[in-house]
Amino acid sequence: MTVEQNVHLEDIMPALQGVIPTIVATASLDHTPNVTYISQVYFVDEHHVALSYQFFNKTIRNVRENPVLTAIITCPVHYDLYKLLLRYEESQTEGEIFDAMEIQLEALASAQKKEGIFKLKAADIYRVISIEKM
Amino acid sequence: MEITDLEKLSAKLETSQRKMDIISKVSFELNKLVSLPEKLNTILDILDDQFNLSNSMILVPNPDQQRLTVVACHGYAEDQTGKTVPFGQGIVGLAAARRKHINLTGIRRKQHYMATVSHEGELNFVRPLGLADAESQVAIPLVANAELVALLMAESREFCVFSKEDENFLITLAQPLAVSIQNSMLYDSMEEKIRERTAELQRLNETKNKFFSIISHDLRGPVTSFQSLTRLFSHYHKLGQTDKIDNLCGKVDQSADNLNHLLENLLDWSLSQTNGIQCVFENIPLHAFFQQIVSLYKESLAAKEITLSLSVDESISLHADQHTLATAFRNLLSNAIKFTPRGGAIAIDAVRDDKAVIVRLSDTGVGIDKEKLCALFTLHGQRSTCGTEKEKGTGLGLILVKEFTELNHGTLTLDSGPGQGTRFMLTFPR
Amino acid sequence: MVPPSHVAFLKLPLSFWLATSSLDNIPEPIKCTGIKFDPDREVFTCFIPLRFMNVGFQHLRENPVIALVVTELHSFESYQYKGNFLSYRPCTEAEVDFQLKYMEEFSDILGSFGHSKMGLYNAYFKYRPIIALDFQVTQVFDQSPRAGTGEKVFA
Repeated sequence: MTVEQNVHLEDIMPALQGVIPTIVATASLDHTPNVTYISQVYFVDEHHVALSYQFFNKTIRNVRENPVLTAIITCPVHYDLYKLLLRYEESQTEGEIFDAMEIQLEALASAQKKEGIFKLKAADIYRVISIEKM
Repeated sequence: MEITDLEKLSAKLETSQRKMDIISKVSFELNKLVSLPEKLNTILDILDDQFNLSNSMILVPNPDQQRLTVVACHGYAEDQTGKTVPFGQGIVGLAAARRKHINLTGIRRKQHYMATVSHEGELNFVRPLGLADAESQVAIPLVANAELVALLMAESREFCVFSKEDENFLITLAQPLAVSIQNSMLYDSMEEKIRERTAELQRLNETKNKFFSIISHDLRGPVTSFQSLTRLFSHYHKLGQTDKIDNLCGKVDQSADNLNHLLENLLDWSLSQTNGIQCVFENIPLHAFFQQIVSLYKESLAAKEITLSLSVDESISLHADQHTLATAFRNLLSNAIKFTPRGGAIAIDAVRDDKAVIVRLSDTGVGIDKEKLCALFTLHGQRSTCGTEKEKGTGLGLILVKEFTELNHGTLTLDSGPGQGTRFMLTFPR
Repeated sequence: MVPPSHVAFLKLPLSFWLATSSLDNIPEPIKCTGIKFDPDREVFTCFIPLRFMNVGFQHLRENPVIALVVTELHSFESYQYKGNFLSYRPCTEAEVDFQLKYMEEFSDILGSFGHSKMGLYNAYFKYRPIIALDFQVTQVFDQSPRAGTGEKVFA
């Protein structure tokens, strides 16, 4: 795997729009890995991203006890893969980031008259530890 | 500085230059004093030309703020203008309801996931407008003076068409766009007001012209006649020819009646044009009402040897304004006498049912040409026609009949043809 | 442990991702370019381009626990298999041919979502050499987005 030091979140914005689902791996405190798809990693600022928390699942449980998460995002334009090492910081249930994520979810749901079915519990904010182009 | 940095800087400068060009072109268009649809279409053209927004539309909220209507669109095979979307539905409706911009891509996969997870099996997208298979959409609310003026929506079948930079640029453009659209709406509504005012002024001008025409032609004639008659009186008096003076008295009486009728019509019409008629509704027994009207024309009927039959049941009454109703029927009867040849007949009857009272007035007169029927109740191009014995009028009579029938919540229909007489039917609600 | 219905399901052109974890709990996702499942031994053989395994090997040296998620991309039916690393070896020619066939079918599915088939094919499948990694299943979880998701599946 090639490590590129100069990859910034701003450079990989198309990969942060959820066109191709993201793979996330987490680990529990007893070192058991877990791997799953999530819909999207959202850009927050140059050092942070957000993941939507809609249902309590193994990923959320793992992150709450071990705050490290590794995500593979794919650029839908050039199909480059990037590995993001993330550290969970906090859950936001209001504010600009939460609103932006929630409005996207509702825009999609309301177009199918499914308002209220897909509720955003929180926007989980992660600090970006490293980005590697694979 | 490395080459890649220089390239990045150069690309940034190029992008900035392009954006400045767009702002400049859009500003130029925004400052034009043209109608709103014209302005919006031009703006969408520029955004496509300079910004590659190949499918875009501008929607405005309805006055009740419940729906948005497309007022301009660009790049669609099917014209989207006039289509509507409810507030809160889809990216467009939600951006309007929340007054927040929304930028989505990968739409079809995300909606497919939602449909599957909610166990719908079949996809059930609500796409009232735009591309049915859009993958990217951006919606920017255009807000001016805290009011949602319009909404700009652009979409594409490609992924990731609208970058964060594009989105921010559109948001930058949104403010002057919103102000300009608001100004254009005000301009359009002012134009509409000016059109309404112009039409009103034209109508008033026609009224004024008619008024002066009546004064200069129809009133001057009888007054001149009175002057001549006065001289004749004096002449016959000097000659001592009293039989001729007696003969002249009958003519004076008739002229005075005509003049009085004309003045009454003129006054009523003037009041009706300035909304000066105050209706007082009361119960009017129709039999007695028509007897009184007919008695006013007994001599005119006798003079032309016209027979009049009145068939109105004494139990029929009408809830109406006495003055305007009498004016309407006086004019109808006078009109019938005027255009019925000597020895003819006029019939008045009234019937009623659960909902209405219908009054019919028919004559065996000369009838009316089809061409003249249309202009009969309007002032425009109205010229008075002389009666069968050269009786004069102002052309106001039938206009008053229609206006006063409507003031009494009635409707007027007429059936006529040359040589077939005329049948008026007035229907009043009970 | 693994339900019999899974045997046929696992032969479909599904998406396969592995994950490992270091002893300091840093997780690592790893793309598989195909899998084979031996129902008798309950052993998965996962095919992985060697260049995707650098961190994975470090983890497996200290922690043999592996997770594999398999997902049918149209229906989102998904299962997670957890178990212990057994061994790895270079792929045989027959296994490479098997992967090529799988990659073709899987790329077609990605293409049906509007993506460039070759773009994704190159992103995942162009790397050689490829290794075959075996792990023994110890737990199975239903991960489909429906009632009961996350629950253990028992045979």
